[in-house]
Amino acid sequence: MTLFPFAAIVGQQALKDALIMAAIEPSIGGVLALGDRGTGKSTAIRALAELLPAIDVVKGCRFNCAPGARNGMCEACSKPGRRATCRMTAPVVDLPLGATEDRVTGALDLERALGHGEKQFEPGLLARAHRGFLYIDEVNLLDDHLVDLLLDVAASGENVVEREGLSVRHPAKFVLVGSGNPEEGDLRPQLLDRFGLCVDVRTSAEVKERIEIVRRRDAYERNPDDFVEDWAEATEELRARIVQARGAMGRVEVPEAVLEKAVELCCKLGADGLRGELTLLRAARARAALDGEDTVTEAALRSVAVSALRHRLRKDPLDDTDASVRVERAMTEVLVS
Amino acid sequence: MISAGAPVPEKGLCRESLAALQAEMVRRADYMLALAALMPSRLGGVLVEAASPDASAHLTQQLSGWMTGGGRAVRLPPGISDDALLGGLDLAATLSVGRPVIQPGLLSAADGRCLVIPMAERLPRQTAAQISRALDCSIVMTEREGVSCSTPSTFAALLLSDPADASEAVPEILNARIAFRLPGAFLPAQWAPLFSAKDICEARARAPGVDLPDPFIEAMAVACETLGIGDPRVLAFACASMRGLAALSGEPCVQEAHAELAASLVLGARAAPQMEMDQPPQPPPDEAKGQDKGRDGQSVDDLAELVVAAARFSAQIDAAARGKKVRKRMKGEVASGKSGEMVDSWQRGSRIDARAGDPRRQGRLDLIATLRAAAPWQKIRPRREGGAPIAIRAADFRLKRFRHRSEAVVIFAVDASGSTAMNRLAEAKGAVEFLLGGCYARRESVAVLAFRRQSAEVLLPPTRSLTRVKRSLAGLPGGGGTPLAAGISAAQVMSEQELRRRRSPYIVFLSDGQANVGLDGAGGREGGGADASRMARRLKGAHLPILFLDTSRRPNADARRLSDEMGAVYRPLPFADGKSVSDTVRQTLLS
Repeated sequence: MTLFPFAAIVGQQALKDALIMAAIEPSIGGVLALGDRGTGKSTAIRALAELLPAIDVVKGCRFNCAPGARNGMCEACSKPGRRATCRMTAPVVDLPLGATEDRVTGALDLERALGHGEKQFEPGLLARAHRGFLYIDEVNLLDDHLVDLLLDVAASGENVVEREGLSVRHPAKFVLVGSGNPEEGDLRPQLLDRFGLCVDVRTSAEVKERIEIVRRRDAYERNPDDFVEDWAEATEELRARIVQARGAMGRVEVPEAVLEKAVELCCKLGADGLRGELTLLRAARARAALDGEDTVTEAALRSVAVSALRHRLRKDPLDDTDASVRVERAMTEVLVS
Repeated sequence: MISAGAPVPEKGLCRESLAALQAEMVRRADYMLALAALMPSRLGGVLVEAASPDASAHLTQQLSGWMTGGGRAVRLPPGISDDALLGGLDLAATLSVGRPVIQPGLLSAADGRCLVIPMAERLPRQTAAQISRALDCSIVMTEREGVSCSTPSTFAALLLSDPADASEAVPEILNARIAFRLPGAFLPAQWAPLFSAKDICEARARAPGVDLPDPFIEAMAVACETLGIGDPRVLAFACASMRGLAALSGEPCVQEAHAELAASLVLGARAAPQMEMDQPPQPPPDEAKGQDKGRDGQSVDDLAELVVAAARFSAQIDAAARGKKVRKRMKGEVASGKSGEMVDSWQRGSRIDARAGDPRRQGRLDLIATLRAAAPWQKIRPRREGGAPIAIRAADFRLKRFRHRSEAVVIFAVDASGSTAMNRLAEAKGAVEFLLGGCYARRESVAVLAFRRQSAEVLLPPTRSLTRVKRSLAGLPGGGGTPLAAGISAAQVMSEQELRRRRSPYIVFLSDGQANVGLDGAGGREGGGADASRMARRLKGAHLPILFLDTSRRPNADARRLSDEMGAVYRPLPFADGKSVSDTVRQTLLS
């Protein structure tokens, strides 16, 4: 199936930015897209697959191990010896609602067990998503036991399966991407906290923009292949920017003054814990790298603050203003530029 | 050949003539089904409300006949399990063949066919989400119990719904993906369709080649704006419908008539109600105009106006066809809010499916499911001499999962200020005892909050134990100012906690509504009253069932206003005792 190209998505700048940021710096810790129906949340996230730069993997490794990594390899790849490598497109794995635990973590290969009486581990979705993205649509409808499992793996970066006397341990580091409609139910605070960036996706009010959305969608539906072809150049350009920004990440400096501002902003908003500050700075660095700058400016901070902090605010019974507005307000007080 | 803009029988409608209305609804049904069959992946399907069983059967048959896969419709049984919906392992075949055999789920079986969803208003959200996903991607992904596959599936959904009242609606997640709504009360049991299967087949081939000029898209976008339709999907539905209608009528390019009809089919049911009712409905201009080829000079605005008129007119027909079917909420009846929601449990309720789990820690073992889980692995499990014929491991254990209505928690928020504090607390205590005494079978919990002086405190956390109630509510202190705002806020905090624990909170206020302490603890009628209103309005946003018992000597306006602000049911109860409080709570909230 041909996916709708990421570059052809009209509007939704905040969501697109957040996804690109997460692609540049995976340690930001994932993206949560909440908001109105029909705004193309899923389209944007699924389209990411075509945009991500290819990754090098150990040839034949079923866990997408990175060649030459010192640690965090699967059992087979940790053994000494040289291995051939190959390139593959970075995975964007869909975790469907109704998935059972064994398919998420991986389990014994049924075919082998039945046919040959062999115990062999069959990797699950977590293994497939290693070094890529794991996407959960309607994340607020996900079963509790799967949420627990994901929280555990996302925190440790490792998946451990014990079954039938077989013990498998493999790396599972992925960028968690969730989308959902807040009206369908709240997200557990622990899961909410795991997402680095949280984007409020709104329907565009601009009639022009909405017309353009329909026009492109119509063109795509009529002839998907031609449409993707038309956007190939824009996609390639965007991909090149991501690759470049990834390379530049290491060189981006955070001046002391900006660091102080970031801390002050978090304090002002009562964003609990260190995660808010860390995410804010990482996202700001990714932003700077994407813009081709070598220092993080207050402008970069400003552009990522709302998505990095809006889901971490302490609840204030006296203030029922929208979280984004509260972040904006704090920014005008703290940031001068 | 096929006329897209058949004249609307507006005269008959004004007299509410049944025949005219019936003819119009039949015409709409035909167009909706035809479009859904033409582009199922773009339009989702049709939601039919309150149709008779015969009419539903006819609609099903007609839509099935027009789909590419032909054949029979696939019917979604109520309470379908994930295995049956998404597919799973065919155990018998797997064991006999010696390799995994996948039993396709209902969603994959529906490929190219019509998926009938009866009682759509009772569809669980999970199931609705899975159907929506299949509609979105035209792919069914199965990641279950040793099965990992994705199969393409394109189907048109026919949702049959018969809502008893406004609170029963098709889950929004699915509703938003279905282009058409058809009020079915006036549909006859059978009729001769406008199109033949061949017409649909030809139109399907033509549809991608139809030209859809930009002004039509623009006009439709402007019309959505005017009608207050925010969901961008609706605009996409309308545009796809225009293309489909042009293809049905054999035109190479979308015409005005197609735009009008598309608007009346898609936008009408979603248009925000119009305020001015004295103005007679403007019927859309007749067909002759629609065929006018000199469209180039016409502005987008004119076209938009035409489209809006068509949608508004259609909304009125819809309203007539819907009749007074939807029951208005009766006075004094409480909004059900989040209460009574179905929750999953390991203990009780109606059986839904089995899940992996540890029977020593929770739940009841599902023996059959456990044996099924163990069966494929027998070959690799060493069997001891004289041991059990089947080797079962802890990982095979499957527990029964149930679904039941969530448990009720009645939260009493009691005004313990002033001189009458002791009376009110005694009433609350009595009510709590009565409720608990009579409610063992109903499994309700009760909690008590009291507010006095500067703040609110929890006197009794949610409990079902009568002994505990007697102990903790004995010898309560009263007196001081009335921090009503703090009391309202505390009630809301506790309700939210209970919601997170999957229980349904009900709040009962016992107060005279005379606040004189603000949230910050400062005294003063004005500040106290303002804070109380603010908290009351915030509480309203939580959509909880609330009962406000006015305990003042004679009903007073302040209490009434506060009760309205929080969306509560108001009852004056000047000479309350435990029994009457408990009875009122039963009658208004828990019935």
